[in-house]
Amino acid sequence: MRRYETIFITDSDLQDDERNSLTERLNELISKQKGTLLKIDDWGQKRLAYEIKKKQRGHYIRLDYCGTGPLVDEMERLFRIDDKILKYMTVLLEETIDVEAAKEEIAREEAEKEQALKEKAEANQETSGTSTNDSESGPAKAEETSSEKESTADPDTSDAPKTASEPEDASVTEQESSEKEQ
Amino acid sequence: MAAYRTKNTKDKRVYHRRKVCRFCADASLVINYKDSKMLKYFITERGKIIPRRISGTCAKHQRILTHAIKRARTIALLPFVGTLDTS
Repeated sequence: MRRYETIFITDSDLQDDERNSLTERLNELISKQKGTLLKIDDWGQKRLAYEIKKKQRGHYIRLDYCGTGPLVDEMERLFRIDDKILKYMTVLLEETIDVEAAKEEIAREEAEKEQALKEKAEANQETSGTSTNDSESGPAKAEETSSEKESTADPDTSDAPKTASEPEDASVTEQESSEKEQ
Repeated sequence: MAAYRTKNTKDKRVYHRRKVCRFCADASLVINYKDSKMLKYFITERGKIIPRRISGTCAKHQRILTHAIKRARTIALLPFVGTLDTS
């Protein structure tokens, strides 16, 4: 048993229920081939770095699962047939995997994530109540929004000179030129 | 002549700044092809991979980085050519 990760891009015009039925079908396929689905990661709408089938945007979905070679073959065959799938990519994560351990690990990770979210929400409430710690909450919020708008890339280029700690000769000139363009 | 030479070496010293591999300096940084934001610092405006001699990454990490960038390109997180915002 191997652990794989498949990312596929669906048409952004696709309705949510159609997309859900698609993931359900994949789930069935995985269980039929004696694999286990560990996680479905929905990244949502994203701007593509280049046009695929004349489309500028796509809906990214990541599957994390355990299975064997034939399962991957079958899944990729389905992706190739379906014209609502713009592109797909499967990456081998681990050669051998203990399914139960992996499941536990993912459950733990999710619990941690939830807890972190809760703590964040609490912290936000506190800061909004006192409004003295604005300087702390400000940049954190800005980071969140910029990570959501990854595809728009404009805030990133303006951030670049600060975050790039080592002044790299070529990249510095690039950043300058990109600023000029803006 | 001697003075000229020392001046020359001084100039050289200015140009040759020792660059440190970012991934060696900070072990918590993990190269992941899904993290297009981080990978963006290692490609040019045109979408080319920045060479090791300019970015200063060590051979080991440059190898991993190249692989990650190529994966990100296949799944349309990074461009093969052109910029992210204008394409």
